[in-house]
Order: sequence, then C-alpha cells, then structure tokens
Amino acid sequence: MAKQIIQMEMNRVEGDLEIKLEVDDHTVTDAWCVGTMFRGFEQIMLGRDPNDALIICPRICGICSTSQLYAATSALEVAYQAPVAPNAIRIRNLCLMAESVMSDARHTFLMFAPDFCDEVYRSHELYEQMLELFEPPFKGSLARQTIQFSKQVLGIVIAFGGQWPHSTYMAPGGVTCTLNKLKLVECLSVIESYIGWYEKAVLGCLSERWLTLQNAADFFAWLDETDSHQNSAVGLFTRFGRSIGLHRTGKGSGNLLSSGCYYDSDKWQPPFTEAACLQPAGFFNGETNELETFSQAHISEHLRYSWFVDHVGGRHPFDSETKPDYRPDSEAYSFAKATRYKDQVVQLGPLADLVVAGDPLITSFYQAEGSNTWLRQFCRLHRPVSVLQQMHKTVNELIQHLGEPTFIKPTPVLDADGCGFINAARGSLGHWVKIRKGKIANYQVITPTTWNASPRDSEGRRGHWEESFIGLEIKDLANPIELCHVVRSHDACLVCTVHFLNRDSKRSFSI
Amino acid sequence: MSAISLDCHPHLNAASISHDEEASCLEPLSTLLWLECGSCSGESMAILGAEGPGREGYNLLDFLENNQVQLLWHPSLSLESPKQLQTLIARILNGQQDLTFLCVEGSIINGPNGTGMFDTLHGQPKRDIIRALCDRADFVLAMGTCASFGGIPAAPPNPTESTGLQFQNDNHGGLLDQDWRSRSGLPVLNLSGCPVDAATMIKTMSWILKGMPLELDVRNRPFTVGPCLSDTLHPKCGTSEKVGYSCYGCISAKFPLSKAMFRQVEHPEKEKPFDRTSEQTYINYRRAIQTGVFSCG
Repeated sequence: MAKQIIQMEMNRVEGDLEIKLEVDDHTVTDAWCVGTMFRGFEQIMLGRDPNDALIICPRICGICSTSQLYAATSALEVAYQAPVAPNAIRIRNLCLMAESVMSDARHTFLMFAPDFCDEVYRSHELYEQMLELFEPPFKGSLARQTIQFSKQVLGIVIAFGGQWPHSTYMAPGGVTCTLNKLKLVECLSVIESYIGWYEKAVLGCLSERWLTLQNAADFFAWLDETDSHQNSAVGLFTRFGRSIGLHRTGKGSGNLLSSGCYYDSDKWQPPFTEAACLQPAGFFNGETNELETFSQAHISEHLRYSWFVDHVGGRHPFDSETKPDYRPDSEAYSFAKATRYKDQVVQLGPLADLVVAGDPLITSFYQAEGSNTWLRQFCRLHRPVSVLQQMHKTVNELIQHLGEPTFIKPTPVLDADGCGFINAARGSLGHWVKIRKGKIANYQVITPTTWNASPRDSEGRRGHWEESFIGLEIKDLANPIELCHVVRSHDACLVCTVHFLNRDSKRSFSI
Repeated sequence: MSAISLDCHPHLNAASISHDEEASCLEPLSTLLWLECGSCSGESMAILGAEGPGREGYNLLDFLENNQVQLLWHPSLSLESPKQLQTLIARILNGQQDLTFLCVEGSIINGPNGTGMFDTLHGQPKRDIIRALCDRADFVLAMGTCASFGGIPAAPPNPTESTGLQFQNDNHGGLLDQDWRSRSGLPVLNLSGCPVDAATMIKTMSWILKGMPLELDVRNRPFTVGPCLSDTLHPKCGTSEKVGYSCYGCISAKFPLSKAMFRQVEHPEKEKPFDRTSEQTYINYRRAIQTGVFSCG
C-alpha cells in the first residue's frame, strides 16, 4: 500500500487539535501537529499596565487558570524583586495543588479513560468493566464520582479566591485575600473527603500503603495482592492499558524538563536566582541519562516552520516577537514557535516533573520501559496521592503561622524584566514580561503544550508529540484509536497554546 | 417527588411526568449542543461544578439528569469524535435532529481578514457552522462574556477580529444582527461573566425549560445573570469584600477595560463596583402557551 496522509481532528483535549499523519501501510512514518484556534494574548497585553496581567493571564486557560495567575504574579515579583509573604506562598501552593488534583482526575476519568469504551474493544474481557467505570458522558461510576469530588476539591480555591476558574487573588508580594481558621477548617475537610474517595475508588488501598511502593516490582506485587487492588481504577487502568500495549507506544522525546514544583515558602525570595522548590527543577538529558540543573537562559524559540516574521536560528523569549506572517504556500505549517531547551527537543508534563524530582516508583518504570503512553497517564493517577499529603501539610503550616502577614506591599519598578515559572498540571509554564516606562513592552507565554506540540525547528527536527507518533501501528485507518490513546496521554491544552497553528489543506484529506 | 407540568414545552403534548429515580431512563425531553470558539474553556470547566464556601454544587451532570436533557455533544466530554459531530450537525441542519439549547462559549473569530480561518472546524470557519446552527436552535445561549460581547479576544488590538454572537462590546450586531431571533422568538441570551458560573447557566436553562417568562436587560442578559460573587442577599459584585480586589466589570459588555483594571481594596464598604443599573430596563419575554414562542410584553 502506498503512503497516505490521514488527518484527524481531536476532541476530549482542551481546545482544538488536528493531527496529520503520513502512514506507510499501517505504520506512522511522519506526523504534524496542528491546532486550529488563535486568540493573540501576547498582542493584547502590549501597552497595558503590568497588573493587568493578573486579570488577563488567568483567562488564557480555564483549566489551569490558577497556574497562569501564579506565573504572571511571579514574573512581576521577579521584575520588581519584591519579597513575598511566606504565608502567601503557602496559600498559592495550596490552591495550585487543588487545581492539579482536580485536573488529573478530570483528565483521566473524563477525557482519557472514555477511549477504553470504544467499540473496537467490545470483545476485550475487561470491556464491561471499562463501561461500568468510564462510559461517557457521565455514565460510568468513576466519571460520575469525578464530577462529585473534583468540584468539591475546588472548594479550596474558592475559600481564598472566591471563584474558580478566574480569580485575581494573587498580586506581587502576596495574596489579596484574608487568612483565617474557618477557611483552613474548610480546606482540611475537603482534603480529607477527597483522600477518602481516592483511596476507596481510585487506589483500592490507603495512601500510606500506596506510598510504600518504591519500584515497578513493588507495584506489580501490590496489583496481584488483592481484588480491591485489581479492580480499583488504577488497577483496571493498568490491566486494560497494558494489555492493549499502551506501555509500548508514544515515546516521544527522551529529554525531560521541569522548572520545579511548588516554591518553598521560606526560600523563594529575592533575588529569586535559585528556584527553591519542594520538587526540584532539572533537565534530564536523554542522551547522557544524567540530570542537569535547569536554567531558563537555555530556552530558545525557532521560527523556520512557523508563520511569523523569521529571525535566523533560535531566540530567547525576552527577545522574541510575535508578528504573524501567514504564508500558506511555504514550508511553514504552523503559527506555533518551535521551543527548544539547549537546542534539544524536550518533553514536559507529569512524567518529566516526577523523573526530574526523583520519584522512585516513576523513575523505576522510566528506566525499565522509557517514556510511553501508559506511564504518562499512570503519573496522573499516582502523583495526587503525594500532592494531597502535601496539601494537608501546607494547611498545618498555615495553622502554625496563622497571624503572620499574607501580603508585603511591593515597590513597582518602571523599567524591568521578569520571568515567572510555575508547574501547571501539564508541566512547566513560563511568563516573560518586559516593563518599560511602567507599561508592558513585551509579554511572552510559553505553556507546556507549546513545548510539547511544537512543530519542526530550524534543523527540521520534529517536536515531542510529533515524535511520539512515529512507528505507531494503526489497525484501522478509519478509526485510529491507537493514536487517540497516545494523544490523550499528552493531556493537550490547546487553548493555552497562544500561538496559532494552521494546516495546509491542499495536501491532505480528512478521514 | 414533584410532578412537572410540561404542557408549555413546544415539542411535547401536554403531559405530567413524575420525576423519580427512573427519570434518567426515560426519553430525553430536550437536547443540548455545546461548541467552543475563541475560548479558554472557562465555562466548560465552570459548568462541571466548583462548590465551596458560599457556592452551591450546581453542575452539568445533575442538570442533565434532573431535567432529562440529552447532551448531544460537548468537546471535552463526548465519546464521539469531531468527525461524528459533522454527521450530527448535518442532521440538525436538515431538521432530522431537534436542538433545544445551542450553548456557545468563546468569542466569534472572524480573522484573518474576515475569512474566519483563525478558528476552523472540519476545514470551515467555525463561525459559519455556528451561524447555521443558530437558525435551528430553540434557544441560543452565549455562555460567558466572550460569546456574549467579544470579551478578552476582542480587546484592542483585537488580533482575531473577534465579536460576540449578537453584540460587539456594547454595540448591537455580531455574528447575528440585532433583529435575529431564534426559533423560540428570543435573541441570543447573554449569560455574561468571566466565567459565568454553573449556578447561573443551570438556573437559566432550568427556568427556560419550565416555560417561565424571561426578562432580558438592554444587553440581552437574562435577569439570572449577576455580578461575580453576588447572590440574592448581596446583589453587588463581591470581589472587594470577599477576596480583596476591586470589581473589574467582567459581566460588562466592555470587559476588559482599556484602563488599568487591578486594584487591591482595603475598605470594601467604600467600593463602587460595576454598576449596571442603567442597563437594567428589562424586556419581558413571555412564552405563548399554544405556539411555544416567546415574544415581548
């Protein structure tokens, strides 16, 4: 069979995504990722008062609005070199963790798992159980429970921010909201209720037990131990997912990048030169298999395959511009900039965060089986267990430090540059702001999806997602379910991807 | 359990149906299609629910089940792919599939250069698909400020040439002109807010399903739309009192404002939040029992 191009529009990803594949017989030999919607945030920010970023940036994304707000606030704090009230860092972290926990549940059980209910798996021995747990929309028991509990865990953000998504309770120097015992009582109650559900329905065991698993062998022994482990959400996800080979697909880039998760409330202060995080930052070099320190100076954006006015080679985001130059007949095929670290293609996301932080269970699987579809999603089932414990700890810290300030008034600087990094549920998020004469002169946002969904760079190297589809075997080209699993394991957030991706409709046809 | 009288629903014969546990197994009484345009997915996330202090647990799942509404398609939740959506849309457009609620989230994107190609679906400008669907829906709801008035994407320099469904900021006319009406006789219902919360979206749709008269203000916002963090006892925006920053008018047709918007607040009692009193001359739409169509007065 000759090579053919198949094109697929995706749903159950945040925003609009199209994937174009070149297929030889049934094997994917090339791939292009395309989003289909552009809003132009960076242009909207120009000339505005710097604090407008606190209002506009959360609206970049409805699912990671807290992360966007935190990154914008952090960028301004770095620009002003403003000290941050430690209690504010604790409150911010608590809200960010709540958002991450909600996101992992909604993504896994409302977006990823429904694919296990596809017709094509009808004859699989676990199919009935897949339907019982995950059937969309809202028919499966896990899907329904996810609605119930994920909306409750957002109560933590509501206690401080009043609403979710989109609230402006963070400002340079701290938070605008008050801190009191009643709010903390509310938070504790929410955390405990969520942990109770998670242990019962998702894990099938207590958190303490789960956190004793140190490597892949421990995990498989745990899985075989009892029925409650076998039939928990994570148990069934593993049994079904690995039986259809998800641990052998979707590798992508072996270079992993994380800018660190959750600032240490005592250490994250001016001059902000070292990212002091509870889960450390780093760059896992896929070629040397060594962990290196993270420095944002190594980030560059390439425009060769992008519809922007080109600059030769790569440029750092502070020097980068967003000037659309739509050229449909050129080799360029995307408005996304190809973002690279130390000139390498990298992967961001929970897998990167956990391997870089040295999580023993995930690192063990990574060393044994590499980056893959099953492991990426497994990270989203695994990490909430420790995040919830950390949330509990953070509430206790807030109780201990109750009377202390939650805000330190900053001295705005009229001419300054700042860069803020936060780990959102999908990976590291960066905001770069240039302030001149008290107004925003340049604002660049690089989301984790920007990295992962990037097109080819000046050297023609594919981005992480594109790379992850190469070699995939697709049984039925009219229903590429194998592709769906890989794409959804990336937890794409296209609404976040502020540059616009387009496709060349002349060279392809829809399936 | 209470009985719901549905004799004013345009698509049903007069009937009383008791609302018991088997309700979800009965045939759906109405349908809902949700599409996103120049959107951040804020309303999609909000309607899944976010409950906490001062905020009830309204959510899409309960609404669909309690009111027997069939979710035809939602981009984040449905099993069917966008390819299968194409078939669904064709059936709606040729009259084979009834559409009660068309919920649109996000601004309508017209760029570049009026082509609409900055936001496509099935290779076409999404706005053209939305335009065609509007004519087939009983009720068109703009979910959020972006769909209502253009919102953030429409802020200067409006790089995507965005508008709302039936307004551009506070000017009449967007994707649809001022005089356009849906099959029920109503204009686009502007559920503005950034995001508009689950309670507002769900209460509005529930109210409509019960055939109650609908009051719209001069910006076509139903009376159910209120400022952030407000409620029946506290009708003004609650951000200054509850969270410590001043109101920036996210339900306003002019959101986001051009001037600096962020201000921390030390004395909430002295604040003057976005005041829509001048916009609150309500048009009262009543549904005619026989035809099921809403008209003024």
